[in-house]
Amino acid sequence: MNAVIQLENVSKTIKGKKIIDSLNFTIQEGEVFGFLGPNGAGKTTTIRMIVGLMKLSEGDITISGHSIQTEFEDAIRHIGAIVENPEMYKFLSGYDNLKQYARMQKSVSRERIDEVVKLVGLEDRIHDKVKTYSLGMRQRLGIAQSLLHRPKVLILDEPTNGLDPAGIKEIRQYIRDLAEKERMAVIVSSHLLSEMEMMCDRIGILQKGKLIDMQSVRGWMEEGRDTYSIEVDNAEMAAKYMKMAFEDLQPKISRGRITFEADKEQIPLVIHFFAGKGIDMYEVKKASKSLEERFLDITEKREVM
Amino acid sequence: MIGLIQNEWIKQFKRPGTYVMIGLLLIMVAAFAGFTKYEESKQTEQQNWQQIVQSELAMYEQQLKEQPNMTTDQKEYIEGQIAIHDYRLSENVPVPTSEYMWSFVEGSSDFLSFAGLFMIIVAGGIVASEYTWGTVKLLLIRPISRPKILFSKYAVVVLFGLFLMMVLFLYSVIIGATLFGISGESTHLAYVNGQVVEQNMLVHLIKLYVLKSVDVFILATMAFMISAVFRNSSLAIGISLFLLFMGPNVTYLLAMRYDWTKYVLFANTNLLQYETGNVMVEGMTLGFSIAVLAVYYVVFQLLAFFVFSKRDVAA
Repeated sequence: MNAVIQLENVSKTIKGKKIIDSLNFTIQEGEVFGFLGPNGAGKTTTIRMIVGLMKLSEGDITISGHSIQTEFEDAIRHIGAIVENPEMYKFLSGYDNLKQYARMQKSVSRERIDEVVKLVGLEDRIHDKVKTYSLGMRQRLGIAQSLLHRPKVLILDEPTNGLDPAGIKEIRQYIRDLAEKERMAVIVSSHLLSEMEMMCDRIGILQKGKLIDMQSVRGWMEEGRDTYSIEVDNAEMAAKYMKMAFEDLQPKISRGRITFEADKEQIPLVIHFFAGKGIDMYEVKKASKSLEERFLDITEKREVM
Repeated sequence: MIGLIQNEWIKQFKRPGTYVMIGLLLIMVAAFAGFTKYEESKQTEQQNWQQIVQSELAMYEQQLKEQPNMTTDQKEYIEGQIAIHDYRLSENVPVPTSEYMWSFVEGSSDFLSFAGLFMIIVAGGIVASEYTWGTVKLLLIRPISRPKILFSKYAVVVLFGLFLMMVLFLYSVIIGATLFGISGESTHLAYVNGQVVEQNMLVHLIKLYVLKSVDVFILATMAFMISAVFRNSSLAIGISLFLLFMGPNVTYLLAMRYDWTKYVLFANTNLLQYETGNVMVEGMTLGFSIAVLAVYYVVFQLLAFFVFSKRDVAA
């Protein structure tokens, strides 16, 4: 695995206020990285610094080993991006827009333009003026634009914004394909947490300019104990037995159920134990926390600190 | 770089506004031609050209006698005119008594201000619009440095200005030739270093067009600078147009009282003042004006390039 993007101690100060505070992370090739955070946390500012639209106050960002500050042209060559909305020249056709960007990069052939147009499914409308496009079509054109020069890094700010469910699924599929087949590193930001869960390999949570948590999506979902609940015939009795046999579990009683946090391995033991004590069980259920709950847990916890 | 300039040119010519500007310019010149033709048709008696030259000569000689305290530059200009008129009589070089192609082209050089106005509109919008449209973000994340992008935009402003000048010139030639005919003098008499010389009319007119465009080129550069620095096209166009039309008058008033006016941009934009000798502030020379213009030009460009290259794009 090679690190394609590396952020080292990146900070941004605007008018004496630290907007971004010492970011450190790397993104590997073939990885989809999600940027998560409440509004104003600094997601877009970080993306703007990665693509060179904003200068860094401290630290450095390297893309494929080239610093965005001192070797801008060599670094940016490997990036394709949409920053915020995919704004295009409305008075030009979609095709003319792509030609504008093709002229600014070496080695973008006519065939390549047709190829990306086909990839994003805009063949029928590509010669129409962009002002007649829907938001979803503009988003697709934006993606086409970012893929023209076969970048190593793709940066998409809110890529599913304005798309219908079918469109969202399609974009998600492109992104997974680009990462897996073309070994592209993809950075996405989104406020749709469930979206991120399905799209990303790793998610970084940004709050008040600081990276407060970063984990792989799988690890995150499995981290910590899950909450289980068992429907039993006599909840009070079950809770009493449980407290005696399993000291680390703290069952709570509600509406004929006992609810408790436990490791996965403990569940068969609990079931055997209850069966041995003659407690009838009707249902054993895992009440897993969604990414959203975890996200809120983490951000709220930090807020208090 | 060619690709970048091509991009900017396409963006300019894919918008209807550009064609409105060109159309307006063509309509105004056509109206001017029609008016001239109408005036000419009312004029019945043809004057003898020798009479005209003689009466003008008498007028110049009288001026020389009656105003002994004129500046040396003005005196030189009048002496030059007298020499030219003498030359016409002795060498039998007539002055055109009726409108013809070249005289019409010379007359329509006044429309260069309008060409300049359109050039300023383009210059004021070319950087600011990218911010307004939000397209600046996609423009600046290409493997091209910001100064190169800015340069390509400035190049298109200049090319567009030259394009309008050429359109005006060629269109005037065509209209002039069809409405007024091509018969007429093809030489221009100039007074150079105390001698009357015959110049090619075409060369003379091109020189006239270029000299008359100096102010609009400098103002377009200023509009471009404001556009790049403040990202606001209305501000850029407004200030520049205001200065284009008001600047020379205000400067003229200032020049009567203060000597430092000679360092003001507008005291120097009219390079034709050195042909007639009526300079804004006494003691100014062509070299001085070119130097002042160069300083303003460099300052505008440095400001534009420095701010555009350094600024964070947050639009």
